[in-house]
Amino acid sequence: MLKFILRRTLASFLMLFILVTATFFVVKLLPGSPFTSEKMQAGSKEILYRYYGLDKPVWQQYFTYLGNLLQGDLGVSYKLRSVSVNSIIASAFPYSLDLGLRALAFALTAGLILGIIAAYRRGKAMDTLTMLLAIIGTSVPSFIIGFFVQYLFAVHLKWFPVAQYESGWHTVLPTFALGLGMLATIAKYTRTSMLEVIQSDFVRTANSKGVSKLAIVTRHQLRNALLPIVTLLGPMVAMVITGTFVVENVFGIPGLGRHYVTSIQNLDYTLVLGLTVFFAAFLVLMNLLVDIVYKLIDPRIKLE
Amino acid sequence: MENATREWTPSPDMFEPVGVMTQEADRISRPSHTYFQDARRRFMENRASVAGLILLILFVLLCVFGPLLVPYSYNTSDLSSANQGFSAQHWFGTDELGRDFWARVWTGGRMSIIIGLLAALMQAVIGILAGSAAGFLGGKVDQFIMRLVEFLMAFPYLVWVTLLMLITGAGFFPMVLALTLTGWLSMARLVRGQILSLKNEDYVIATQSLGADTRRIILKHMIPNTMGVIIINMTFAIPGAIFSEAFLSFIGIGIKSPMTSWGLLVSMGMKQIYTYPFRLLIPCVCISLTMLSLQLIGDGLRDALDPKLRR
Amino acid sequence: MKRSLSVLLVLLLLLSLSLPTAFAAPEQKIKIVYETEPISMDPHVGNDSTTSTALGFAFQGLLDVVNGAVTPGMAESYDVSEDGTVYTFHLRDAMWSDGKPVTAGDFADTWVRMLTREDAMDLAYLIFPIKNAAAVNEKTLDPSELGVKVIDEKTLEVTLEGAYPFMVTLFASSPMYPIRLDLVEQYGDAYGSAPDKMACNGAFLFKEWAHSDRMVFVKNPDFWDAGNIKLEEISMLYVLDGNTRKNMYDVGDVDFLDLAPTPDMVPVYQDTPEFQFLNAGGVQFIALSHKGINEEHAKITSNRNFQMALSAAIDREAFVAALFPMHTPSTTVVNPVISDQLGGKWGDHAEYDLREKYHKTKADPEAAKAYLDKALEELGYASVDALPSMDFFTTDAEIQRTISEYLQDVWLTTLGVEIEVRQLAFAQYWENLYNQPYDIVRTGWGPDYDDPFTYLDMWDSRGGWNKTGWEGKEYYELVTEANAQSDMKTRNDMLSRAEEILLTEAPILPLYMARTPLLLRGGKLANVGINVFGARFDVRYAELME
Repeated sequence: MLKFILRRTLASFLMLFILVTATFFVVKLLPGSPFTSEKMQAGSKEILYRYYGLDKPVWQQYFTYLGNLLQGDLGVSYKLRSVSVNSIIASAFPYSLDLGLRALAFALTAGLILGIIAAYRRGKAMDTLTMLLAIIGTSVPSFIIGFFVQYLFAVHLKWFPVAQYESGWHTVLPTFALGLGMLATIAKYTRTSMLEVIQSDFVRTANSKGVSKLAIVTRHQLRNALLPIVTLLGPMVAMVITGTFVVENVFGIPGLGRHYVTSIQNLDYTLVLGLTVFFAAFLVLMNLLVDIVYKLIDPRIKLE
Repeated sequence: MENATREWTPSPDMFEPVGVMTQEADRISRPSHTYFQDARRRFMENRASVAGLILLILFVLLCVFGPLLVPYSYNTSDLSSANQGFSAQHWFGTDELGRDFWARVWTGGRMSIIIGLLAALMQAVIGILAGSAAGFLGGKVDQFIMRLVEFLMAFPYLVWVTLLMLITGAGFFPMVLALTLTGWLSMARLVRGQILSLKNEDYVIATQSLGADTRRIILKHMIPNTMGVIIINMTFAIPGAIFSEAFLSFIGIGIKSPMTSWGLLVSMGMKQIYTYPFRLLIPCVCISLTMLSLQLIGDGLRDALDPKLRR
Repeated sequence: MKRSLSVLLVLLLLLSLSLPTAFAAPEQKIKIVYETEPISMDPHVGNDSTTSTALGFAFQGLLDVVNGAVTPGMAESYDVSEDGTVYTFHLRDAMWSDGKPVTAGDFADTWVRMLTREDAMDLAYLIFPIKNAAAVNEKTLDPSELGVKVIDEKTLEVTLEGAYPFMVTLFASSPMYPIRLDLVEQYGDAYGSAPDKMACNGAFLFKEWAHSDRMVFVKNPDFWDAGNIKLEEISMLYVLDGNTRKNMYDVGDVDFLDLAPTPDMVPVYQDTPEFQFLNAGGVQFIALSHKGINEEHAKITSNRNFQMALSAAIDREAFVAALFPMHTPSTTVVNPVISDQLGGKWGDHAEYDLREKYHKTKADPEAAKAYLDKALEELGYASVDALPSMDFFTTDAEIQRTISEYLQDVWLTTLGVEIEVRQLAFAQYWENLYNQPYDIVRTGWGPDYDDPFTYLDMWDSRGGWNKTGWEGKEYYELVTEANAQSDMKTRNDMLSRAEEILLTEAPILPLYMARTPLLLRGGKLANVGINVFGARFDVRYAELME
């Protein structure tokens, strides 16, 4: 197990390195400049390029960047001058993490419960309702859902605050809006894999052996039905926790989501790179965790 | 329980010969169905999927013929009739430049559906090629392709798409390209997985040992058995691409003017939700119903094509 | 029993939360909401409206502008030499937030740093009216040659290149706010990035900066005019989404809403008492590059008749009315709300009124076609079909897509001229405008100070902005010599002549003049100042009423 983790970690670092390299050079391909602004003066772009070392050959910039990266320094944002990328991520990430975890918890509990119920009541009203919810949750663009949730519960009914992220009360709507799509996906997958498990031989065997219904559900069915969900969850966690543009945008949450869009539009090279590295590191870590969890719940899989 | 207690004594006059000829003894009573005939029958039995199919056909017809039903072009502005409501002249009213909204909605629909189809198709082609190469050839090629897929998956999707769009410049082809380059990964994984598992299926090994050549194995077993997975994945890839198009339009990198799309109409409509809610509602309903129909069809296809569910 | 008690308690709690504080006097705390946060709290990095507003809370310059009028600031009083070129400021006893006195040296150091710093100097051009400033900026003169002299701790003498009458408003603007050089040395690049890494001297103290979320300012009890400051706290919130900002305003979360980024919402509020128009002096226009994307295009874009054909095809009145209910169609260069330096507005002078003279508010398709025919003849094209498709670029804002599509359609249907629209992200847009070849661009300009000159000198291609390749000899002479005039009437005549040249020769097609629609919490927020530059609206002296 330890050997496996070590090997995977090494491979992950190698991948991160390639990723940083690729992004670095792709970003340099972008037309435009981070320093052009409306009222810019001739010559000031050159001065800023010199100040930030952007006048040097690209390979030299690349090694400087790598050197700083190894020390954990992601550089200074070109747009928010004098603010470091580390501090931008450090101040924005907690919001995304908090919201992401809440949404995950909500989606996972509700999604699993709905999925299991739907599987057991196959073809009944509850099943149809769940599937309807699942399809709606994945058929309506998220910015529409976000707006609608906000308008209905905050503006019209005034049950919750409109935006910002100040108290637990503020987190309810964004959690719901972000969780809904995931809930739909999780419920759908749970239902499908539960259906497969219910019909499988080992459940029939356990049944005929007189194992209690509860034990069958928890020990045999859920355990096996969870496998596809775990695979699904890895990238989902990484995606949701590292910030989502739409929900954060609608609810005015200062998380990482907006930076994915605005940093590129501003050609804020260092921030684009920093975010990519951060996201990729997170995703790689999540995939590693998924592999380990997989090993723990599925005895059939041997980790090399 | 009644049956068990009733007295019942069999007697020879209760039986008569059926009259089966010996040469017909091994005939199967039901007519034989090919895989796809069977799948079609099961798909057609699924009411939700058929409803989805009808809905999709309806939308496609509206997109193809809708703009032809009115004498207005989607991009001809007429400021004197700006911001009109529903009327006999303008069925869906007009927008802020006085352009006929009916024409705009269905012209936009054409664009969205074409983008969705094209992107899904190109994703499928690349995904199938990469996935089957990895699955068949195995070894170094498999290693390389799978590392590449894993590597591309670690990119933040948004950053990746936006970067591509900014480098190539916004527009129709850059968008299809960006969606293709980011969307083929899951297809490649699926196809590879399917081929790997098929390779080890008993019947394939059996055919092989019976002397069937590789060509026959690919044509008779691999392709039909992976087709299902591919078709299902594509029905989900189309709405995925339509959604991505809507999202990219929402963040300001859509296709070029004067062309429009559902995604663009929705993102414009978001701004006018308090003044002209129908301009959001109509394209939004169009996107959602198209998504819905494609998902229903996808679900139906999965049930129909899954050999395990074959009755 | 226990359970029902706790239910009761929860209900009570909820009730207490939802009860309005009806009997207390209004708490003097307000929340205002903006789209994006300031670039920096270092006054030299940016002077967009949001940044200027935040800076205005925390800093004060030598002079101040309150509701459009120049008032004393850190300087109690000032003298101007007879020829209008030497200003002597007498500073009051004011304190920085860390307790140190504000000195004449703080200002002198600030301006030298602004001209010579290596990391951000976009705004240096603004202080070029100060003697030798341009040369110091270009490093051809030593900073000691700059026309700024510290007479003593509380007296500062500033010598100008000419009698720039708008300097008084510039002395009040955010790029000329003082900073503390000792703190700059202490914090280096991080100066101005957090409240504890800088010092303030304004009406409010900078208390909190949660990036992308909010800035909080609290009243500065040591501010010299603190007696007239009523607000205890100002929270500036930053919310990207326009619908969310509106929803926040509607439920009462914020007391102020700028509707400029979301013009579609104007009709919702237009007839309510909380709705206001603010004339911020912005001008929007189309410019053509004499250089074009290649030689063939260059001949077309620099053809005057072609330019006029494009202009005459646009129905400015109907187009502005349909898209921007708050803006006014424009056919000139100078926004009439700007000061005439004689105590009135530019628009007060009928003799300077160039509206409808060269460009028209209403479309004239016949005239447009006539212009085009002449242009085609001059250029040697048999018909309009032989014209290449012209390149047109603008920003990626959604409203720009609509504007582009209107122009694209109207030019095609009226004239048969085709354009290819490119929508670029901001950073690409400016790069393209300054450094890349193009045919046509849609762009705009906001005043840096209260003087017509701010609209006119931008077309001086020797400066920064004008990269269209157009040059006008008489125009250069006029803008160069206007500021040497001490008689404002003569100066205005010269400026008006310069404007006329721009309208008849320069490749500019005016589109509209921007007004900012605002929502101020219905009748409750009083004494909000309105300015044409810098902080477009100013709540420093505002008060919440019953």
